[in-house]
Amino acid sequence: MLKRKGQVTDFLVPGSTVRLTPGQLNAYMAAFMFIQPEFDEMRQMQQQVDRFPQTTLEQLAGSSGMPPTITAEGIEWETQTQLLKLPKCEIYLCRKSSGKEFAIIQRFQENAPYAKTNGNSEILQTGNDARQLVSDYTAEAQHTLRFMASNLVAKTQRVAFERFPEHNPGKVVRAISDRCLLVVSESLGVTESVCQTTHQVRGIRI
Amino acid sequence: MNEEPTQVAESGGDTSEPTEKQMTVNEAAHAIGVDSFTILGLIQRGKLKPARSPWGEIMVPKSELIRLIEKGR
Repeated sequence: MLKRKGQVTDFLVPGSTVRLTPGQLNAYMAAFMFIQPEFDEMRQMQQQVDRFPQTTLEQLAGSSGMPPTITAEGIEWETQTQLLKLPKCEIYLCRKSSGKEFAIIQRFQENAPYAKTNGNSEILQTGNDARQLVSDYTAEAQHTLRFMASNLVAKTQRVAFERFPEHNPGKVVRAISDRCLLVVSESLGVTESVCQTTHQVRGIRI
Repeated sequence: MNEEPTQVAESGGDTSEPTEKQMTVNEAAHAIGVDSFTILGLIQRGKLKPARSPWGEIMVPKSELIRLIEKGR
């Protein structure tokens, strides 16, 4: 058992190789709890993004039923497939009803203040190649998720540094950062579950 | 990339609560009825200009949110 200054130092948390002392582990748990709901939401979004290519191929092969239409910026679009479903919006791959153009369209709840003034549907990207369009949007969504991850890490800094200044908060934040970035990395599901198995030392589940 | 904040949040040294003029991403999302993912996307596309708290958290100036809503009118 590794010890440093009388404390056990062999605590590992999911997704990180940073070793934490018991005090640092407490700081980690407190800081992580602060972002847990958003972390879970981010993970669910990443899982949806990971399914983009497969979903698109299935839908474009003609397995979709009668698609509803969406009117965005005065133009009617037929929905081809739903790419993302979030609590307050959905993102679709659509095809122009009269033409060959495709678009990625975000649809908001009609009663949302943003929708009331900007319209409840917004075109994010357009193009003539559906697969390329989805590929481009996948990259953009991935970028947004990484942005979300870095913001979650920033949020935990205040908790770690203000409440646990004596427990090397920088190291604690680094462990949280590793975990958040792992979620938004490709092939996350497998990687994180492997990490959870490997790093569950001393019977602690984070 | 457009997400780099161009102004620094001023919160009077107290970062526990956003000031009256700035909101967290979640608060901003709630205020205009969208998801935080949408707020971050708007920032990335340059439609919303963010600030940062002293701890580095993205903050949305209330004036920016008002501008975004009024722009659509």
